[in-house]
Amino acid sequence: MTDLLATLQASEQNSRDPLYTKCKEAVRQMIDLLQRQGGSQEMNKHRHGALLAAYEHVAI
Amino acid sequence: MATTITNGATASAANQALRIYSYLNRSSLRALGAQILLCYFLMNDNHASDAYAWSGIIVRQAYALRLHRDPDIILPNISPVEKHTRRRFWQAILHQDTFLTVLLKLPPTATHSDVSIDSLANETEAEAQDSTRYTGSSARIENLMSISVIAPPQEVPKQPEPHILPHQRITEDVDKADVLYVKSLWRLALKVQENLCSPVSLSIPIAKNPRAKTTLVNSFREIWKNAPSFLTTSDYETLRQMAQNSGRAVRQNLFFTSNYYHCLMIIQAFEDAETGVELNFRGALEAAHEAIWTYFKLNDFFGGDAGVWWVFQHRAFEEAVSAISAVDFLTIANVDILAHHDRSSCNPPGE
Repeated sequence: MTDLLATLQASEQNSRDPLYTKCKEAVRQMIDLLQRQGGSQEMNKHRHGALLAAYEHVAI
Repeated sequence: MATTITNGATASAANQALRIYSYLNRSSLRALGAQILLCYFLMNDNHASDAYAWSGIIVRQAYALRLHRDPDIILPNISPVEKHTRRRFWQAILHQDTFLTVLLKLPPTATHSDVSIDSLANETEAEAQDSTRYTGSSARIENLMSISVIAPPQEVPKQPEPHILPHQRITEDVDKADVLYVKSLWRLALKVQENLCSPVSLSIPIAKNPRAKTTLVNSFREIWKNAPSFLTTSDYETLRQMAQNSGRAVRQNLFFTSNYYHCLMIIQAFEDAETGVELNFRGALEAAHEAIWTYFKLNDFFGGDAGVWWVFQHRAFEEAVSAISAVDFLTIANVDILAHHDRSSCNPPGE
């Protein structure tokens, strides 16, 4: 989702689109979950970093 | 740290028990069942490479036991319970192989079968029809080159019926729902194996033209439409309430939904400029959103399960990062898996 959202231009229309908004929110939720979750710390840290880096390119 | 040691010790103990049994040259349904569970354990313990290797042994042993053949065709005289058991085993192996290989972008192995999905009966029905009960006659192969395999004896000695513990007994309603779940997942697995696993593992386009993509999407939707409603309900509150009384059904819902939408996302995201196949931007986002939300629901309703099920988390990670082409998934997934592979190669479970 992050890679698709990152292709969108920052605009009021895009920022108000319910689908884009809920997808962005879901990515944010996944980032938080990876940070909180136990399991393999190394794997979660790697995934958290990769997702956060991709998320920074989302302009909407 | 303590968890890691415990998990490693568990995998090691399971490995050693199978070795003592000589599982490689004495395949049996019981040993195969243990290996299927061990394979899931390895996946969920971040040993995807080890799990993939085990999965190969499992499928080969399933072929050796002829589980890929419909028992009505090759073993018409075995008991209904035994036929039922063989079909359930094949479905479990097919499902594990398909949804592991679609994540790893590697070729599927459980590809040759004539086992009929529709012939799968409820366990209680099979038991009711059964006058001979479990004989174990088709459940074990000692040596594929032995004379008893080439020229099997006419009289097969009866083996004791496996003991069923009280907690293993389920009600008739649950049994019926289980069969519906298994059949739905089975249909999905066959569709995914043919249309995603095989082409993606060879970098072949999953749709040759725009029409083929539409047909593929529609065929996936058909599977969804034909699945029972308890598997396709997506309303958060409904599922939350169901989880309080019927965790089994909700887990089945989430596993089916997660696999379905993840695959739909891959198809919707597929694009190929040469053949004019276009990315369905909103379709891919919608499928990815539905898919990732199954992981959030798993986390909300069942807490620890979400941290344990590696395949679930891996799918959710892919859904969060990317919904572009399967080739791009490959780059992300391989970085993750190879990083893990280096660690697991240094410290294999069982050593």
